[in-house]
Amino acid sequence: MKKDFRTVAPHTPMREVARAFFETGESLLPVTDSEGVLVGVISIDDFILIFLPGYIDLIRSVDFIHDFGALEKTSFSIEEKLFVAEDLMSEDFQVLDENDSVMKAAAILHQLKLSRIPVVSGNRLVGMISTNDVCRAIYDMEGHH
Amino acid sequence: MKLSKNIKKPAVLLRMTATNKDESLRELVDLLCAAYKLKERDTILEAICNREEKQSTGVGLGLAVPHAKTPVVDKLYVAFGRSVEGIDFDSSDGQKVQIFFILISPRDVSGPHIKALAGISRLVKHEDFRKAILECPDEKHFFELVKKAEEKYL
Repeated sequence: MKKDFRTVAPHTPMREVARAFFETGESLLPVTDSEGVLVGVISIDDFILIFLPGYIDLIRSVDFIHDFGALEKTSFSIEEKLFVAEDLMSEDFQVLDENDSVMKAAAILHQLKLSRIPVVSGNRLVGMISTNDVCRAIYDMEGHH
Repeated sequence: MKLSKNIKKPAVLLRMTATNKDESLRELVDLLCAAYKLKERDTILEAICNREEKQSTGVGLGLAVPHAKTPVVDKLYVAFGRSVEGIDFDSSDGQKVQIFFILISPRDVSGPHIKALAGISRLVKHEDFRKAILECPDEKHFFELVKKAEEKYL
């Protein structure tokens, strides 16, 4: 489990959320309040919805679109002023307790097709665990160093 | 999300009477609740005001998009309001707001809320659309010009 992780606050502006994604390279950002309570998570998949036209969900394949035209040059100045972290976050998300086993973490990550999951103590965020962390821990448990 | 399909006619108010930010939020929430027969008006207003406290949704260019997520609604609801005189709304550019879209969504899903806000942003960033909205004489024209703009820009 990573205990050194980036969080954003509910009022963090969109530009700062973007920076947190780009600088960490993570696909899931935890949102915490001033007391460290985990209040939501922002996925990079949700974040990218800001930039995609609505019709993308209606077409089966985008292969036939060779030129997105004006969309490629769109300014997002309104969106930057409109969105804060709270608007982008999901409040319905899976967490692990700090006392949960590695195998439980592996099972949940696999079943829910997640790459990263918050770890809490009570309702406070204490870490983030990834499939990579889990694989490493399982491998170490077996004594394969 | 297409606004033309998601805004009901009674959720369009072309002559708001509010003269300040607080009044405008109350007027828009009342519009939303009346148009869609939403109960829990006070809870919705509180959610909208709490979100405004984090950062004003007055995004400049005479636009504001007050919005929030709350567990007391079952799906996304949208309404539109226009103030002829304009309202001080703590906008990022200090300009008075004349064009308002208000949105309320359930708390447990983020995708539709993001898509709706992004869709509105994509329309209102075009000056010709904003100008047409300010000049539109009635609800019928409002829906026509929203449909036209959606065909052109979405």
